[in-house]
Parts: sequence; C-alpha cells; structure tokens
Amino acid sequence: MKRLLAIFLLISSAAFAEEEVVDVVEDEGGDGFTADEAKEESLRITGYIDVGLVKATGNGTSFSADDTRSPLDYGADAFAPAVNSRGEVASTDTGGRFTNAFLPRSVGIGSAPSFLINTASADVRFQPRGLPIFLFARMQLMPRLSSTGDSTRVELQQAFGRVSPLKNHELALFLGRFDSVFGIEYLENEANLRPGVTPSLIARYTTGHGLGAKVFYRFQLPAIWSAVSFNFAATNNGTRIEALVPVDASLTGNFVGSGRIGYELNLQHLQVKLGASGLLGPRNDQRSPTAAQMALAGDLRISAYGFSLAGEVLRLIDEHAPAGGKVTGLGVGELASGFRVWGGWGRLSYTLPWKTEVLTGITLLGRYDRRAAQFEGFTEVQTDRFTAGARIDLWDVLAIKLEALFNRELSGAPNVENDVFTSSAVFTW
Amino acid sequence: MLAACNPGPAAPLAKAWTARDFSKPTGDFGGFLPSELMSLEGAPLRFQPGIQEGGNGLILLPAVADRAVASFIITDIWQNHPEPWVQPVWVPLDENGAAVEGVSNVFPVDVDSTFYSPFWRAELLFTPGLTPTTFRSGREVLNANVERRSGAIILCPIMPEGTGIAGDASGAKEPITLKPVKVPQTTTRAWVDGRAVAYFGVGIDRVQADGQNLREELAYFFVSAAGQRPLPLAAVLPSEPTRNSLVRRVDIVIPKGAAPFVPSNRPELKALLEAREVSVPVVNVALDAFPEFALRVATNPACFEDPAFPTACDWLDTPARLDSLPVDQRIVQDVQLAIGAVLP
Repeated sequence: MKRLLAIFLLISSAAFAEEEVVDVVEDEGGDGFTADEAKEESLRITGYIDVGLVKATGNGTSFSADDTRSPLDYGADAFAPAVNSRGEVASTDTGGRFTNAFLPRSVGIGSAPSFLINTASADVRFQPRGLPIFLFARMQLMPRLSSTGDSTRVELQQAFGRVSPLKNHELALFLGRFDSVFGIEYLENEANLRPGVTPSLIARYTTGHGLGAKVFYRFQLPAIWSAVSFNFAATNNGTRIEALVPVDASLTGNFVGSGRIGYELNLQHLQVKLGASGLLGPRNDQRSPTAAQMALAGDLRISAYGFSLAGEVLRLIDEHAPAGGKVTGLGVGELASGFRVWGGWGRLSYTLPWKTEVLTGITLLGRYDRRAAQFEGFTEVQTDRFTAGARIDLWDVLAIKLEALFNRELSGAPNVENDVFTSSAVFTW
Repeated sequence: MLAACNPGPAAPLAKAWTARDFSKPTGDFGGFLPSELMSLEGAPLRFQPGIQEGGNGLILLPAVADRAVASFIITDIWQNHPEPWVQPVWVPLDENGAAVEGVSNVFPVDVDSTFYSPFWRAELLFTPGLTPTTFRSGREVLNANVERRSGAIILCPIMPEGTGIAGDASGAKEPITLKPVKVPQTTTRAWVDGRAVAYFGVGIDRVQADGQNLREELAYFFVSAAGQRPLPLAAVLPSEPTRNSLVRRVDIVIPKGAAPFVPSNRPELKALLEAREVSVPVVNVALDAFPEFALRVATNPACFEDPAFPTACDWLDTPARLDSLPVDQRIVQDVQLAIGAVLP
C-alpha cells in the first residue's frame, strides 16, 4: 500500500505533459512533453457524424437458406457483409436457426438499400492547467432499427485519464477504457480516420476497446531516424470487439495482458513501421480463469511518394471453456467452444498529388483479406475478400468514401451472395 | 495471465461423454463407469455369463417400461450441460428417392464438436446422377442445387468403427430374461468433412422435438444412498421409451426395508449386486418362473415368499409409484442421457 501511495505521489507531482491526441492514437502522433502547452486549461469538444448509404447482395447475411447446421454462426462468417467502419453487417437474421453468440452487430437492413447514421460521435477532452493529466471521453450514438423496433444504442466507447509523468520522455499511463494496443487496425477504428469504409476480416479480434490500465513509451533514435515504441495493457477483456467479448466487467477475476512493440523508420520520402503484438489471458466471454485466449500478430506499414502499403497477420487461439455458458456484448450463448483462427490483410493505397483549398485529398485503395477459422470439432471455414475503394476529402472537414466488398467462401461454408456496396460521408467537427 | 484479487464466480463444469469415451479404462461419466457402459472385446459380460465377442459392445442395461421388461444402451451422457441440440444428417438419394449403392450419409460434425449430439434430423437430398463421391462434406451438400426434404429425427451416435451391442458369439441378449434381442449388429460408414466415420443406427423417431428443442423425460435409477452411483437394478424408463431417448437421471434411494428380486438361477446378478453391497434375499426356486421380475425392487420383500407373488409385491417399477416416494428419496441429477431402448 505504501508503495502504491508512493507511486501515486510520484505521478501526481510529476511534470505536466500533453500530447495533441486526436482520437488518442498514441502510436501515431505523440510528440511527448511540451512544457509551453501547460499554461492554460483547455476543454475541447470534437467529433464526427458518419452517414452511410449501403446495399448488400443476397439477404444481407452470410447464411445459406439451406444450412441447418447448429450453431449456424460456426459454419459461416457472419462478419463478412460489413457495411460501415464499426464492422456492423447488413443483417444477421438467421430465420430462427440456432446461433451461439459469434455474431457481429447488425444494422438490420438485409439487402435493401438504405441510408444509415453509422455513428454520431462526440469527444470531450480536458487538460487541467499545470498538471500532467489528460482526460478523454468519447460518446457515440448509433440509431438503429431492428425487427423488434428501435434499437438505438449509446456507447461510452472510450473514457480514460492519462498521466504523462516525465517531462522529457514520451511515457504515458492510462486508466479507463481505451483503444486496443494490439496490431495496427485499431488506429483506424473511427470512420474519420479510416481510409476506406469497412474493417478487415480480422478486425473483430484486434480492434476492441479495453477497460483497464495501459502504458505507452516511445524513445527516439535520431541518429538512425528511428523510434521504438512499447504499448502494453492489462484489461478485463483483451482486444476483441465488444460484440464478442464483454468489456465492462471481468468475468474471471483475472486480467488479460496485451501489447505491441513497434519500430519506425522516418526518412524524408519513406516511412516504415513494423510491429509485433501478443495477447495472453483468460477468455472474458466465460467464467473459468483456466480457459485462455492467446494471440500473436505482426504488422507492417510502408509509405513513400503517396503510396501506402499496410498489412497485418494474426494467429489467435481460444481454449475450450470447461463450464457452460458464454457471455458477449450481444447476449448469451450455450457453450464457449475452443476456437482457432489465422488471418490477415494487406492494403495498397495511393493518394493523388492534387490538392486545392476545397479538394484536400483523393485516395484510391485496394485491400485483400483472408481468414481461416475453426470452432472445436467444426469444419474450418476459409473466406477471403477483395475490397476496392476511394476516399475524397473536402475542406478537411468532409470525407466521402466509396467501397465495394467482394466476399468469397473458399471452404467449409456454403457459397452465398454477401457482397456489399457501401459509402460513407463523414463530417468532422 | 495477470491475477486480480477476486478468483471469479465459480461455475459448474459442463461435461459430455460419447461412446468413444466409453472404451477408456477409467472414468466417471455422470455416475457411470466405462465398464458399466461398454464391454471390451474379450472381457466378461456384465449381466450374463460369457465373454464379449465381435468387437466392443455397448452394454444392454436392465429396465422396466410401462411395467414390462425393457433394456437400453446409453450412447451419450451430459452433465451440467446445455440441452442437446439437433444437427442435420444429410441422406443422399437419387432423384426418385431411392438409395444408391455405396453412397453414405454425411454428418456436419464429429464427436469432438462441442455441439455434437447423437440426435440428427434427416435431410433427404434428391440428387440426379448421385454417385458415392458426390457428397462427402457439408460444403458439398450445401453448395448442391438439389431438392431437399426434412425428415425424422434419428438417433445414431458416431462411434468407433465396429462397435456393436455387447454379447457373446450367440448375439446380444436382454439382461433380465436373457432372451435374444434384435438390434443392429455393428456400425455403418458415413462422412464428416471428407473424412470417413462410423455411426450406430439406433433408429428413427427416437425422440420428440419441437424444432431444435428435444423433449426430455425422466429415467429412474436406484442408488443405495444419496450421492451414490446407480446400482445394476432395473431402471424405470418413461412410457414409450423408444420414442423418448433423451432422459434425465433421477436417483431413487432404495427405501429402508425394500429389496431387489433376483431369481435363484441368476447367481451372476446376485453377485453383481452384492459387489455393490446390496442385500439380495434368497428366493424359492419356484420363483425362477418369473424371470421378468428380476432386478425389480419391492418395498415389501416378504412378498417373495407369498404365494400371491408377484401381485403381492409393491414394486417400484413405474414413474407414478416412484414419484409417490418422499422427495428426499428422489434426487433429480443434472445428468442427461441419450438412450437406445430395446423392447422384446
């Protein structure tokens, strides 16, 4: 207890530091402590509105009408027909067939073309004067209609306090609910940051927000134009999205450790970023502390002359939970089966070198995703996806994005029509 | 793993055992030992003299149903487990609905799946040009553009190939009267995900269901005391046991003064019970004429000497009679069984 108090006093008395954190992307933009910024208190409110126009093929799901296997969501990839940056899909309507809580959130439109308010997001950030503390909260509203009527959700997506205790070091300690530390795709969780519209096929495993504590540290190696970063977290849940694993409470009493070690090379015309991520801890979709979840991933980003190449590979294993019952953000299931997945994505984008006061950016992109997943005792389901998209930025306030997703079932799952044509207009304020 | 202060709420372990587990040398499968469920090749038979022949065999257990002699095998056991579910089993037929030589059924999952159960709903595939290689996996079935018709629910556990019903060279016998019974002799081949497996076809319409929800009935097993394992006595099955294959184990503590009936010409049964410390009254040779009452429990064993035997006895051989016992003598267990009942 004395030691804890000492640490607290040390933190409290440490110098103030501020990062100009937009969307709390500490891996990307942290400039470390800047003493001059500590002179005035600041309260800022920002946010964005993401409006989509979406059309899915088939019935908007990945489920074949002829598939009577149980659970239905073990034999198909219900996440494939994503329509927005949240990874929500056009539909998860199973026609009454049994599923076991491996489902994404749905916008419930089936194959009907529809406008959507994907997200109305508001951020509040506060920097107390003279203190090395930063407070951040992000509240999001998702208006939805389901078969049972209005299903609008309000989500406190992030809420944390950050302490930057050292003046001359890029060190930050976080407590609360914050971004994932695993891989790189979480950096694009928000629609205004994501070059395209939809997340990858493995985003469900890596981009979830965690509730707990994390530490970020980066040191520069100016002699070789490089930096090395460390980002580690201990959370209730791990890094999966809340639709799959509950965030707000630890069901096992044990925490999940996750982290990433990154290296970046920053030359004048070339930027290279490499990272390795890991995760280990109990599954938080069940109550046994002995059923583990574990994952490893590698990521790469190269940017040069307007081109950007990014990619990530993932291996994740869930152990079988010995007790009955499964709990997710969407409800409960019968059993938490053992599960294995490998997957990855690669994206090439090109930002055209034209820029005016109105037209502030045009980016073309293509992405390839692949995923092979298997629940204990079930057939492995292999799927892939080709994505083509474009993003046009206007006045630095409005992003108009178009995307086409072509999903394929390679093995294990029946062939279904589940391609998606989606668009998004993101107004940032 | 980072440990927090609280260990987290405890949850009962959800366990499931299939016939594949029954050949293990040890274990407690929901109160049953493997040697009580399956006879291994060359091992002594449990309810009759002789040795198991023709491969491993599921043991026919003694029972009473609708007051008559019955027997049953246990194919699967669940403990603290969600209700079993029904998967499809795809049954390929030609376009006229006829079976084609060499064509096997296709299952979507094997026994290592957490969602395996031996209850399957037949899905008939009317397939022009059907050959033995047309369907060997779920994906091939689901991608086929063929007429499909939903059929009955089938009880057919996936088992090690060659597994049958326990018995010697003369075949399986009902354990109470030792009369031969007509049962499938061995397993049939099928496909799971392109891999050959074997299943034991117990029969169709073996369970009543409302969609995915199987109807569960009660099966009563005698125990010597609360918390003990079932004794080798005649279990009391639900009415129409061949249509009620999903049962929950209910333990009946043998009432004080009650005793089982064992004819004098069945010393192997007497030895089986005495090995479990159950006292078996010695009965007159004349009662050997009532083999069908073997292994039933009477609350008034003095009736074994009554000239009005067996009607003088108060038999604990119906659900209604057992339900009239005090509550502390009826213990509903969180154990479910898939049973294949055999009637004479």
